[in-house]
Amino acid sequence: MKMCKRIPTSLAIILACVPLADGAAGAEWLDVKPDHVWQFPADHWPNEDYRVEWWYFTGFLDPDAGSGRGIETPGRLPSYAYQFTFFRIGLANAPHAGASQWRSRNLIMGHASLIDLERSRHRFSESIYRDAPLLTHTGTWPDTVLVRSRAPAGTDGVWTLAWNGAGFDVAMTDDAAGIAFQLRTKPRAPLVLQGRAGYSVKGPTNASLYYSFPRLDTEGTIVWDGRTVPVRGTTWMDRELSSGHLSEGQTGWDWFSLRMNDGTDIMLYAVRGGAGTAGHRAGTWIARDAPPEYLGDAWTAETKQTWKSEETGIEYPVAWEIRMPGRALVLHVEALFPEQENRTRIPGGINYWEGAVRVRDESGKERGIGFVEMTGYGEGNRPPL
Amino acid sequence: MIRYALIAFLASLRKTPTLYLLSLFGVAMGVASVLTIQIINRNALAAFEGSVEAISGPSDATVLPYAGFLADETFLRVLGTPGVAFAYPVLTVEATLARDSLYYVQIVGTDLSGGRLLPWADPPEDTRAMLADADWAAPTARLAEQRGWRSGETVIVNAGSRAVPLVRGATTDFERASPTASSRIVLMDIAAAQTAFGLEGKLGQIEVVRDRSVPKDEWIAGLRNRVGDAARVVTQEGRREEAVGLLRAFRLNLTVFSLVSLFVGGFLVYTSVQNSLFRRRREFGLLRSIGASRGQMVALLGGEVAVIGLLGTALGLALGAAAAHLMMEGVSGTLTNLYLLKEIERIRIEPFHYALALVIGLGGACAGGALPIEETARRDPRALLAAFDLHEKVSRAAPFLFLVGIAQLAILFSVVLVRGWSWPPGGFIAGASLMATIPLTTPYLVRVLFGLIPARSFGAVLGLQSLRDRLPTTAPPMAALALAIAMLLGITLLIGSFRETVAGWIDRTMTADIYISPESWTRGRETATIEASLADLLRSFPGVAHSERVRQVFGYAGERRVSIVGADLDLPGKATKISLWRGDPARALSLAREEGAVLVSEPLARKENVRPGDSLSIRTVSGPLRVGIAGVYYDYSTEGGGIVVDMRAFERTFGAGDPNTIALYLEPGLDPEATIDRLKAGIGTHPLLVRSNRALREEVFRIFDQTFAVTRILQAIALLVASSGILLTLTILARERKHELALFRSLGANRAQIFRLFLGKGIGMALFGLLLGTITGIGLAFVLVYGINVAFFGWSIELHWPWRSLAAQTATIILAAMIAAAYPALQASRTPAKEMSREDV
Repeated sequence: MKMCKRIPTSLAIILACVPLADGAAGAEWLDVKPDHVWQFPADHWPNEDYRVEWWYFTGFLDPDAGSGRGIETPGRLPSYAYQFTFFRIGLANAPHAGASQWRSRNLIMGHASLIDLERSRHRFSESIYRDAPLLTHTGTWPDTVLVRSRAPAGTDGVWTLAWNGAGFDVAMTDDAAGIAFQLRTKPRAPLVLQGRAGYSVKGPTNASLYYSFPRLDTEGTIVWDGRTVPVRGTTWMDRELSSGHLSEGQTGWDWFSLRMNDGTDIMLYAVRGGAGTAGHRAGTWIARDAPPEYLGDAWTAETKQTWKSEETGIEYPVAWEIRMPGRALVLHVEALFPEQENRTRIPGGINYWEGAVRVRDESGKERGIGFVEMTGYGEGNRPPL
Repeated sequence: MIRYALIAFLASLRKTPTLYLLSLFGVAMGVASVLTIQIINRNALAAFEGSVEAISGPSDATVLPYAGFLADETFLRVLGTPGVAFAYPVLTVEATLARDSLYYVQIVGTDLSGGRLLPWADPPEDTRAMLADADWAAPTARLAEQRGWRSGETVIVNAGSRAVPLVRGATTDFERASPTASSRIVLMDIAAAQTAFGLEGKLGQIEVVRDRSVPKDEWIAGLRNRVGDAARVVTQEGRREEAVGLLRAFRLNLTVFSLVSLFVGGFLVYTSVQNSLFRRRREFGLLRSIGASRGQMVALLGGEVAVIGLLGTALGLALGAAAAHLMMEGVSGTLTNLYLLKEIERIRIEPFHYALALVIGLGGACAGGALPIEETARRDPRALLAAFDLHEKVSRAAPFLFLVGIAQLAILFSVVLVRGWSWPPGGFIAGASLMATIPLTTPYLVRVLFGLIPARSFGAVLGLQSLRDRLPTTAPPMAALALAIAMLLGITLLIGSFRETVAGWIDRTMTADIYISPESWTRGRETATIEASLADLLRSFPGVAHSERVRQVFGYAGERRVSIVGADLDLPGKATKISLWRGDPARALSLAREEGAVLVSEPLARKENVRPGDSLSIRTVSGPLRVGIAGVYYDYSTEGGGIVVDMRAFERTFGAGDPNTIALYLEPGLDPEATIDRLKAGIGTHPLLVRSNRALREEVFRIFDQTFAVTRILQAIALLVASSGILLTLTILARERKHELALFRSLGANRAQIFRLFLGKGIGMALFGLLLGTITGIGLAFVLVYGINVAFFGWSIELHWPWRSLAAQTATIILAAMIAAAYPALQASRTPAKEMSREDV
């Protein structure tokens, strides 16, 4: 309640005051269960039984010159990276009476970034709308569209996440930021359930349902300042559902998705504790053509370098030493450049770091690339999820 | 010197406290009369601005419909416009509280899930209810406190025929950001507001915030291009200008009064100060003779004048603020009923008002004191101690001033007549010229007229005659009184004529037996509708022979905001129920029904200079539409202009919808009151007003009288100021002529004769004021009715003479003058013979 009084915007109030399930979603939304029975492809579509869900795409792209070269070439850094995310945040699970086109049960939040790795430029865009028929659409299987939303104010268009029969199509546009992309993906490797049967524990009382497509072949176009570039590359897709992602006292998380040159994919996440609350670590080792192995907390990440954002004053780690003692492995993960902070413009919104990283071994040899996400750094940036 | 000034001032104050108090009162009334109007004027605008600011928040532009509502989809067009950083929808509904049908609240539906900064007082705890429940509402903290609306409690509001329960889920404090914002705002989520009030798919406005990197002009142009003809884009400054335009006639009315008050008040300040200095000229002569320099005299007198000015200003400020508070309710009624604007809830005195008060009070006092101070400082001591010759000077100048007065009247009236009454400044020039004639001609007329009176005995008649002897003292208050009477008469004639004209118009046009409209109709207008099922029930009620539906939207004819009314023009005998200024009723109705032509109101026809056969462009939701004019009807309901359209054409243009009012014509022989009782039982708890023709007529005149309530109060103030002038003048004369009166007493005049002498003066001043004021007032009435009214309002008003009111006013003025003269007459009659000076002998 105290927190509500400090934050005057309605959005902030909604994000801050919708009761965060403390291990239980209360009477309104379902708790995630370890025995969830997955049904694909239907489970790719929105599921309003849970309060929060997201579809997270991070990828690396190169201009498509028809050569098939690019990020597939070990040791060579790609030209572009991107992020595309749709969040659905449940506001009410009872249907709104009446025929108003503004009636809504959810907020649909879109975040996207396009990163020019050659010139170390990062551009971020966001859209946030109530899930009203006028502004957004959340589909049900077997509709083609999973989620659609209006583009940010000032842009005449839509952001879309659709199912193409095998993978996902994503599209965003933001005239003010001068970026847009339309990408089509299809899985190169099978879907991976993160955690046992996709039940991903986040803390003593909280968990999510979580699966990934670590490698999706990607092609399409990107637009940067009006210049359209055909691109090709790979994407990591994450999807999570929960009715309470963080336990009370937990402040945020660090998440790594590393794509090693030898075809191995590694997912690591650490929910950071605070105020007497324990943190939680977990991870998955996905070797090519082998079943995933769950790492649990058998790894550590030590910050080796930090960077302070001039815009927000938030200090983030940007280089880590990751140790997996069980595998006698030490990896040096480092941001390709530090200025990859996603800063929301909407009052009461949150800031976080989501950026492209390189992976080297102890000898300094390039071992892969990846994405890191860090949330909950700085004051008032705890994710409302 | 300062010590002397203080001692002399206090001594003088002890000796003649009444005169000082009167001088002070004169300054204070002058300040108060101007200030009252200025406070109301600015607060009326501030109330509108506060309301706009509260609803619009930090937006850079507002997208508004040309008529009716915006479609939800317009929001998408706005949102997609380049340079838009943020946009939020707003739907406002005027509703009344079920427990108090005269208490209006403004329901504001907006997107509560957006990022707009809202001034929560007690923020929402249950955000799910905020977005999901159709009854969730957040009143302002002040409204909740005033009406005892506790958290979680349900309050029922009436909008149209709907009674809507609202549950308090939070409270807001819009006054924090916009101090003049209304406290009667109830915030809801847009979906809930649309659902609860049956306005799905409709928006009242869209507020838009600009991305600062885009140039403003380019952005506005882009926005206008995107919304096209269906809506208009107005900046915050533009909305203020629109309000100023909308209130133009209302503010003009008050400003004219303000100027007249300034004129009357200014005279009072001038006279008060001038006389208080003349009175003490001997003392000043003595001071000069014992060595006081001219500079010291100026400082001494100037200081005294400044003290009177400052004290009067302070008192005037308090009086002005108190009067503004008293008038607040009446003015609010006019604002809300006639202009559909926000009521003034609180009176705020701004720095501007303090400055204005100081300019009038201190400036007026200094202006009044300037001449005597200059005379006193310039003259040598001998001249100061001798009889003062200003009276003679004024007397000599009187014929010249008279000629100037008549000449300016002749010249300015000629100019106005040549340019025609439709020339907007014409009426004001003529009015000002008439008013200026009064002070210019008064000295000469007093000298001549009172010189004609033969005084054969010592008493009232001698008192009358002697008014011409001291023109600098007597002429200004007589001119002020004449001015006040002229204004009083002019306005009384205007209002009386207007009322009679409206009564005749109502007789001709308001012919139904029963009128049914929602309780919230007065302010809600297009959102106050009668649900279709209920409308059908009423129209088919047993005993109803015919019924007429009326729908109203506010739209635009060209660039002018007008009321557009859709009505069932195919009603039997309709041609006899409309009163046309131009055009044939039967033909006009036929054109309206068959060809979709429109009837336009007289004010609109005058302002747009159109007549039957011409065409007019109406802005509709789907762009501009050119319509033919079938006739011009008399209309006194709005000066903004109105258009009447046949219901079928209305629905084609503005879409189908529920009526705002239903008029029922009963079968012959049926008692309306008995039918009303049955109708009320039939409609149950729906918040509808079911009124007979007679009841509605009474309501019309109640609103009419309320509209002019302020005018009447201002008239009373002007009269009070003028009467004070008589009191002051006679008190000064009694004091100034103390030695002369003592001489009369020593020669054998008794107290009763002296009393009558002064009473005669008072009555003489009143009669002169009445004579000159009546002549000028009649002229002013003609200027108001045929000049200013036509140019600014566009109404045809037939001049009627409200004899009863005029007789009552005359009696009141004479009585006021007699009462004002009584105290000085009593003082004068008590002058003992020993007050006679050696000089008088």
